[in-house]
Amino acid sequence: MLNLGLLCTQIKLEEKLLMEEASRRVHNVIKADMRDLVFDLENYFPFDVVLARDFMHPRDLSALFLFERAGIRTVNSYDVARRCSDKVAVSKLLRQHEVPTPDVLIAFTQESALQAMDKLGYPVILKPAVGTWGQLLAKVNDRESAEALLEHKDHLGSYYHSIFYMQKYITKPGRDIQALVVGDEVICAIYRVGKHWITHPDRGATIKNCPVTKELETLCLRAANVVGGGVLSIDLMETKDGLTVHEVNSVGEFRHMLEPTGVNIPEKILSYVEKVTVHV
Amino acid sequence: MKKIKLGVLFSRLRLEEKLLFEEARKRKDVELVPIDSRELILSLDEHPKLDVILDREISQSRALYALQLFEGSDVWTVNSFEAVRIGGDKMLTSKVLHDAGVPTPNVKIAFTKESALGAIEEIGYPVVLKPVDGSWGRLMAKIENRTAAEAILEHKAHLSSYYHTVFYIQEYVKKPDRDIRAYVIDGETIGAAYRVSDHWLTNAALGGRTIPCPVTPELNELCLRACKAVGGQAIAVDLMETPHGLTVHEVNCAMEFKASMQSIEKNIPALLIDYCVKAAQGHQPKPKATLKTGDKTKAMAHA
Repeated sequence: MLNLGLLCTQIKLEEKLLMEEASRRVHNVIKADMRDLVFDLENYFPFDVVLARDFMHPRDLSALFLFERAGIRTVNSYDVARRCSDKVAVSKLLRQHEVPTPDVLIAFTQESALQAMDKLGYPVILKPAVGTWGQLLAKVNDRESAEALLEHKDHLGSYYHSIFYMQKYITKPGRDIQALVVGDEVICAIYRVGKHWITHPDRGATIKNCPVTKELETLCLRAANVVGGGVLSIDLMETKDGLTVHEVNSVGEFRHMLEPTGVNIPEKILSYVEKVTVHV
Repeated sequence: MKKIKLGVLFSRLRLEEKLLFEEARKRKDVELVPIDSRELILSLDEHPKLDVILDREISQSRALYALQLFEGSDVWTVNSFEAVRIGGDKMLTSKVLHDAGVPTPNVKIAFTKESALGAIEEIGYPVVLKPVDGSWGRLMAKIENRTAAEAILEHKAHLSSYYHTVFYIQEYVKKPDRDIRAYVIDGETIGAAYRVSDHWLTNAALGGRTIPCPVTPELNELCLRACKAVGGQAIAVDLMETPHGLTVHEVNCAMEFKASMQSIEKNIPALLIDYCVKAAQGHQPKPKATLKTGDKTKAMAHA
């Protein structure tokens, strides 16, 4: 039996399923809400392991860091969650380890960002360096929209918005792929099919099972490894030169994948959590 | 003789950068390459044709992203991405100092104004509330009572940066009307200055003046340990004097030093350039921060 801390502020379907699965495996689930947590420099927590379910904003990462420093295993680990919360870090690591990934330029001012977009060639995808899927993503079709967007971004306040992350737009066949990696296994994958350039269920994309081919499996495992491994969601696009990885994230929502893939995702996650936890 | 190519990452030319540029240009063995972050366009395959980069960037986020991308190549960075990441976040700094056994004020971390209020009352008034990523004394608040706490927390919760929703609450350390700013370069505490002010904040940016401070063996040892804990190569360490001895409350990576210059005999810009040259020549192993998490053995050792 593990004392399993579930770090989340909201119990959504995913958390409910994970809690049910944990109870089935007779673990003691303790809900840990960021809003109630107070850390000092010498904390004790009654957890063997913490499963982080919230999207890790930079501030939330502090909690993972302090849990780990208190000797508690975290899934994902602080370093992995930290890298995944930062698109620059992910892109850089993928490129450094030769995992196919779109070209990206980074700039720090409106003027240099504009030059960078001219250099990449339109359309360009402008993303917040730190952010959740779909939020503040912009497809920039030409210089005029680039100028307008950059000016708006400049007024957004948070200093992360002064990091301009620009990705070359990849033409994809009306769909992309999302695969889940748990430990050293690609447990399932889906096609997200939609007319909008952001193929996301929230934007009306439909979901179909995607067979995990050898190519997909190898690429996903490599992508997961370069950020440090764990419970990870890999976004890929199909191009004429093969698959390319455009994002690696800590796994958040997975309800849309349950039915099309038929994979018991909570079971896979919990069994991984057990495997990596040091029993005290 | 082959010249050392020294990149200096900056965005604002303060007196410090002017002196560093002047110093670098005097050297026959150094080729200075100023890197203005405002003009930078970085790619994923960044391979600057430089031997060493000295980070003097005033914006922590720009420094971090630039260093992160530069460090994929062979170029040496002063300080490293890891050191800047830790030194630039007061929560990380407090924890690594504490875990390395360096005396540091007690702090509590909370994430909402409600839990922060509870944490403040647990420590007891007065407390100091700081942004985890702040400098120059910006947005630091000494909180004397509950009414003040409620007002400040309420305002802070409305600031836009994510970082302002980490509430970093430090016990108020009663100190004389001064604190100490010491400089560590290349494993040596090269000088220190008292920062004197009637205000509880002694930052030079807020009008604190400096007088010379002797580098005692105690001060030297603490500074070197603090520097090592954050993985720094050339940093400033801020300390306070308490009845129980010195306590380290902050470290600074791309540190300002103009206010201390009159109180320190050694030439800081010259020593910084010396160190960069030495590091570029490969005399220094790249220091690793003590911050290593997510590693099972470490977790077990802590358990």
